[in-house]
Amino acid sequence: MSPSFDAASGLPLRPEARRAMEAALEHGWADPTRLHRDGRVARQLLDAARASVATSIGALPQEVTFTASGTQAIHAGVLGLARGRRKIGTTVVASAVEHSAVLRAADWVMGGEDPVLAPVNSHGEVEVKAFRKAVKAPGVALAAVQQVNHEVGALQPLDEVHEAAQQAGVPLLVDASAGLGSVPAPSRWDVLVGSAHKWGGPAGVGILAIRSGVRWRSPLPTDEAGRWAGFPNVPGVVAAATALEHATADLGRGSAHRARLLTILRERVPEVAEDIFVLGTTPAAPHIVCFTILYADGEVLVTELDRAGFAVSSGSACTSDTRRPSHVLAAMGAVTHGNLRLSIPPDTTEADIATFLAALPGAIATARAAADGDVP
Amino acid sequence: MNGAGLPEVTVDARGVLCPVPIIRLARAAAARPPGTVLELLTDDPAAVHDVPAWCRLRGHTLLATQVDSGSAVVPADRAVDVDGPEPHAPNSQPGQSLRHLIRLEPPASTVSAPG
Repeated sequence: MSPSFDAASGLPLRPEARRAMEAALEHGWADPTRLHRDGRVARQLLDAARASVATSIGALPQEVTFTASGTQAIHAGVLGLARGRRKIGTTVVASAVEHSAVLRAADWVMGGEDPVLAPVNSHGEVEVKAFRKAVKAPGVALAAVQQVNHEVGALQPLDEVHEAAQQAGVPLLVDASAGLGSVPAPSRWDVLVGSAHKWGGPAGVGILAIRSGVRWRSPLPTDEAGRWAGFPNVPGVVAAATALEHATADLGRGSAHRARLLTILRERVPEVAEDIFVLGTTPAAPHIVCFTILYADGEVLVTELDRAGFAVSSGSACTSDTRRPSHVLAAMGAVTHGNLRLSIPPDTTEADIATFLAALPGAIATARAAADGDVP
Repeated sequence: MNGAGLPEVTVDARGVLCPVPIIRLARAAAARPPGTVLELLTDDPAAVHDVPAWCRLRGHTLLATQVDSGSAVVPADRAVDVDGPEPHAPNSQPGQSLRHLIRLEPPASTVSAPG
């Protein structure tokens, strides 16, 4: 099987999670709010999953809510914080490199106005000084800064960011979607969101954790059972919790392994052809690295590498319908074309890296030739 | 012209999309000595990001970027203001024609040599 280097888009379901899910499908189908035996079994499974996720992310069980996707958790987090602070203002402060789900939720709560964006340096790390200034302004409802940048793997300085937000009395939402399961969970947040399919859980499960005492008000009608309405997806939640538990337990050895392979990519990819540059700097997340391959269309590169059997991704948008280049690359001041993101799954081997490096020059040559006949 | 003198070379990349404008720019740059001022005309929405970024990678100086109508000259640095939601799109609209003035610099040791 050809290796996938698109782990940041999602991982296959972990085997332990699949087994847990099958058991929960068998035994956890009932309504956990019911008082009969079947209901109690579903309730126990749900409570155990909540406690497990709470342990994995360093939260209390009652602080953890499950949603129907990571995007929904982001929306609920942003909209709920804004609703809790609507008397203070509607301004959202976000890093310029947040996931588009965060930025769109921010637009939404600001009535179509753009959020205040804190700039980043050329490595994709938020400028703390500018962030501090932005959160101190009057009328700020909430701030949002991710843990790990999903396109370039930058680690955001959450200690300083959270301190600045706390000094301004502004709640901080941390989107940990690209980090959970690959790096240790962050400790500095008021609201934390994550997405299970990114750590080897199933699609369709998001987590929304809200620290006790943080003023959050559901932007949608709730039911009597909790913060977020709807029949709980007990099998999905159980599988998500199991996957996160295992991914977290693997972190020490697994991160070192991935970091070592990523270092090989950082060093070797720029050597396979002329005019290739690595974006970002170390220390960064151990599973995401991004390159600029000048004079190529990133989307053609993705197609060529797919033809060769490798799944990769690109933030370039030369041929997309939208033709809107990645806002992350733009904010970093990076070239937006010829963008290649490699995000390696935990089970990647050194041999996978070697076969990829062998296939890359041909794909680059084809993509560059396709761009304008020949390279300058 | 923005204190830069008249451009000696014009690269007209209007009507083509990324990465073609940067390829044509790089090709024109490779054939000229340091000190040459190039003018790049482009209506590619990505160029407003890619031209300054390419200049930084290559060690060239972006003297100015202006909307092709001749009005609204904007500075060519990437200084950003936290109050501005679109830090790298200076007053331009997607598809609008932009004119970039670039001065070629000698190769720097810190920048990887062109191929």
